[in-house]
Amino acid sequence: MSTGIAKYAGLLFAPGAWAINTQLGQILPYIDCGAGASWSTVASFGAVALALLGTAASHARIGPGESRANLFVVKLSVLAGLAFAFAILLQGAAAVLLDPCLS
Amino acid sequence: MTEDRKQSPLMDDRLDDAELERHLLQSWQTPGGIWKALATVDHKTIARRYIVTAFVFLILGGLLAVAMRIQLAQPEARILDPDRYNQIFTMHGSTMMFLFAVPVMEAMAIYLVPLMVGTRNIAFPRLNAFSYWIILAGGLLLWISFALDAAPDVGWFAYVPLSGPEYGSGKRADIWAQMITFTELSALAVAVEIVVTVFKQRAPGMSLDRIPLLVWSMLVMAFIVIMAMPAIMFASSTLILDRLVETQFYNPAAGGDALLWQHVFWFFGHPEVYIIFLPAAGMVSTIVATFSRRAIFGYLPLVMAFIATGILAFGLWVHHMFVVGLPRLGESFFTASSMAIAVPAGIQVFCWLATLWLGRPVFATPLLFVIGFIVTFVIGGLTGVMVASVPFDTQVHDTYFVVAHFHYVLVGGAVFPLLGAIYYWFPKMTGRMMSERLGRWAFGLIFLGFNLTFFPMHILGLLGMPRRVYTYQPDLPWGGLNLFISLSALLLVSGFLVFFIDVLRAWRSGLPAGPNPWKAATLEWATSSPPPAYNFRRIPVVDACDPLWMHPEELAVTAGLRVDRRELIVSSVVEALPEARESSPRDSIWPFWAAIATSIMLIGSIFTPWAVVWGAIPVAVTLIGWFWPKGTAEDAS
Repeated sequence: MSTGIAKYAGLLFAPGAWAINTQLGQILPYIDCGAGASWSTVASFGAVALALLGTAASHARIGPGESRANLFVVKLSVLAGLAFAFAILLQGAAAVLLDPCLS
Repeated sequence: MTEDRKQSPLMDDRLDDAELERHLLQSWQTPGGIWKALATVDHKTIARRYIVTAFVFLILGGLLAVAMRIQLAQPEARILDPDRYNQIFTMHGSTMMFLFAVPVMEAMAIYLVPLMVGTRNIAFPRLNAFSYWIILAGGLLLWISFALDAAPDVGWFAYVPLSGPEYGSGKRADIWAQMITFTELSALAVAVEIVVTVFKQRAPGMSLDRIPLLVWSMLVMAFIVIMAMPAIMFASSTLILDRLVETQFYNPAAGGDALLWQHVFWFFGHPEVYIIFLPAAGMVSTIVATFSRRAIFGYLPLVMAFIATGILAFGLWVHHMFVVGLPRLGESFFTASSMAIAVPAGIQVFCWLATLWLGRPVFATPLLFVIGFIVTFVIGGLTGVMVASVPFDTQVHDTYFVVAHFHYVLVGGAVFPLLGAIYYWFPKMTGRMMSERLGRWAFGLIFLGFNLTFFPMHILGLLGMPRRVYTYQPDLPWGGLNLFISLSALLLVSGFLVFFIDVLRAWRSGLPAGPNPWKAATLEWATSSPPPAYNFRRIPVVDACDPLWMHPEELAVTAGLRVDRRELIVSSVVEALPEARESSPRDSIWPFWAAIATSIMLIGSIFTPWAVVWGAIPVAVTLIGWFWPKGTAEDAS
């Protein structure tokens, strides 16, 4: 991953994964219910992994070589990444606990 | 950068302070006279107009609330008929949300952001002037329709099919929809200005980690506006199309979808809450730091919380639609996000409390309103977590519990901090202090009146009283609480009365404020009160989050700007390193004419689609006038 993207990875990947998973949460329950599958769960935990990956990529940039402003952006990315990973984790918990056929 | 090579430009580094001020005034000041006042592009003047206009709408919306409370004070009252009541609750909600809450927050941004980032005017100042005239026209459209007994009666969210062609008779729903177009056009214009001002016009040295928290909150708010407002403009335009030219966006019988309205509306409507709340959070952060006499605790987590809140705001909208029959698992994803947003909200509250705990708080009026905010907003947040749960929400949906919840969030989360902010920045805006004694009275009456008015509404909701009913039968168990609420509302009104009396008194004869009466840390306090037309004699250089606390005696300044024309520093996004000098547009009457032409086109399009075609011609003419080079020094970039 290029260093420019890594700096913002937590800020980009984690909210992106959350947004995609939120949308998938409106589509996949119909498929899960019809096919008896658990794609909502798979998608949610995949999104958690993506969010954490972005967070880790940003975290790896924390070091003495960064300027003060860049360090601020990197730390911001890490914190935001964790916040969104938590939000997706809650969605994943819902996917595990709820029957997709409930309406 | 293009420079006039024929004559040497007048630069600020060649002038002493008195000479510099004289030249800057010549370049930046708006001359006297009504015509010139209409043409001004000074962000401070326009912001003051916005604030006054928004507070006038607050008074009007508040009077409507009083009318509703008088009607509901006793069962089977006949003071208002059902039709008028429908108009009144629609007008109340629409006025408070679209003509008061959003504009007043943007107005505070228009006034404060350029000063806090250390620049001389907002980006795109003519667009700024245009935005004010547009929102004024939208407000007049709504209120003139009310005076003519033709006001919208479809609720502030105008659900179809009630607002569609089948059930919405006359032009009432069209007026609501077009008022929305006016206000969102205005909001979008301001949002773009704020983003560009914050990203490209910060004083040298004000890197991302030194931006004042209020400016961060306004930046996030501006991005939310840019993302959310197009959705509601799409909604209002398609509603008018359905009603005027028989498109079928919301008609299920013809392949449309009534639920599409709810999705599009609430995709905007929920972020709208944060459009109002986040600026308030920025105000609270600023006031807490100043009156705790220490730097804010947790600057980085607070910035993260603002950004996370701004993004999560777009994943909550379905919690307004829990009873429409979507798949339970899909709904639960929105419950998850609604719960998760409590994390950044909690971070903010704990950072403010930690700042107060670690500082030496001075309980002046602005801080009292902030403490009132924390109490009421936490109660509103707790009931928010309750209604984020599908089973609970299903029980209390469309009851007074929800009315109580959102008033706690909106009044607690926005109006309390805003009143604190007015007490805090009034001295900067007018050069005069508001009264501490009257301020404490206003706070006490408003805090007590608000809680006595709205807390019992939770109980009314749990007792089953639905929203938007114009009366109720005497045998229902709601009469006593309703009477108590209506009496308490008078206490709330008296608090606002004291506040407005204090504003008018201070404006006329308040004590002189001086440049920095609160001994605050941010750049707006580095200039005189009220600030001159050019904001800063010399643009400051920033080397700390709290520049005036780091350098209480004198700030370092830059040099090298032209003073014979309006000129600004353009700086880099992350580090705020100076990149260029850029001209700033002079006053112009064309934004005023463009707003009038746009208003005629938009109002005409309620009645005939041809208004868009023919109305586009005067709009184009005014825009050509707006951008036509005038031969001034500012024409060159």
